[in-house]
Amino acid sequence: MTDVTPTDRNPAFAVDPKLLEILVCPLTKGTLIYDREKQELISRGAGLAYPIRDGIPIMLVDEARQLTDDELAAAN
Amino acid sequence: MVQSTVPEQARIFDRRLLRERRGRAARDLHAHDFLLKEIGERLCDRLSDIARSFPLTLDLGARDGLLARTLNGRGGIETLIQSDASLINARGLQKAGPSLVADEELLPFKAECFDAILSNLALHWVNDLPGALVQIRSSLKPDGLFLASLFGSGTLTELRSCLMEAELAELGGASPRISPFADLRDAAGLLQRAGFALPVADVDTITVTYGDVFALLRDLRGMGETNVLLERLKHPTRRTIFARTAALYQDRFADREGRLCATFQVLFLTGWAPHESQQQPARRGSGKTSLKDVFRSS
Repeated sequence: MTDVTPTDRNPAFAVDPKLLEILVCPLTKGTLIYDREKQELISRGAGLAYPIRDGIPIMLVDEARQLTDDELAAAN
Repeated sequence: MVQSTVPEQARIFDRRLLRERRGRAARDLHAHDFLLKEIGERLCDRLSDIARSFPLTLDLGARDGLLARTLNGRGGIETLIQSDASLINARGLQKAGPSLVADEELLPFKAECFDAILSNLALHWVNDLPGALVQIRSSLKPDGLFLASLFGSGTLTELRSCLMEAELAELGGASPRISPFADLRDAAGLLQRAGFALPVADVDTITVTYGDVFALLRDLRGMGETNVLLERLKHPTRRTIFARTAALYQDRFADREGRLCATFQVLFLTGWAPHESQQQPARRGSGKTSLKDVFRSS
């Protein structure tokens, strides 16, 4: 899953608001919290953060980052 | 970490490998996509037959956006969201509109959000097809449309038998090389079990001819459709097996001009998320005419 342009978090590639409206966690189907700073979609239920690269949400469980205990506590 | 809701012993396809194959195929897909195009065209024709508009539609397994190009304004679609399992594909799709990376086995969409979900040749690699269909149905609005094509059980039967026989002869055993496909007889039942109303499954058989078996294999690779079975052999196949396969194929499945025939059987699935406006079976016991009277009068 690598690609040529390492322009993560480039504000020029904002995630489409229409997408944010309809996305849920693929595992729990629970709501997601959009972390604009980190460009991640946080699923509290699954304890996972799905990355957004150049405006493209990557909704794959095995590409998601496991939330730390602190992050989970902060999200709750 | 959990990678799938499908238990390990029930998995037959390597989804991660499939994503890689799809990504790798992206660059040269245009040289090998005639079959995808042809089937996409037939899928869009079926959509045109439906006198409805579908403002928010999802293309599930969009590859390079072929379906969006084929649709060309049909179906009254205002927003087409394109989803693919490979990031390389999703990046290419981004120019045309909202795109994302998702696994067809674990859909990340809200309940009742789409007017239609279309899928062209993406669902035959799903480990749990009934599970995927349930997820698709639940993200459709009531009376929303699901329309998909997938390869069915009569696909590549010639190649399957030749490969198996060649391998048996060379190695004294055979390994699974061609995917098990869904059967037409099962398809409508699967839709119904997933809760779709008015399910329809029909089949088109397409025969493609090739100069030799290697041209067929190149096309399959070019489409990102080569073996991702978990039980596949993990080491390269001996050249002698391919040579024998080629000879067997030539022997048995060549047409009069000596070109090799390859069969692709394509299932088209149509189903609707239930809605009260749809035709319903009459309530049991609500009949007013006795069968006895019907038979007596004839």
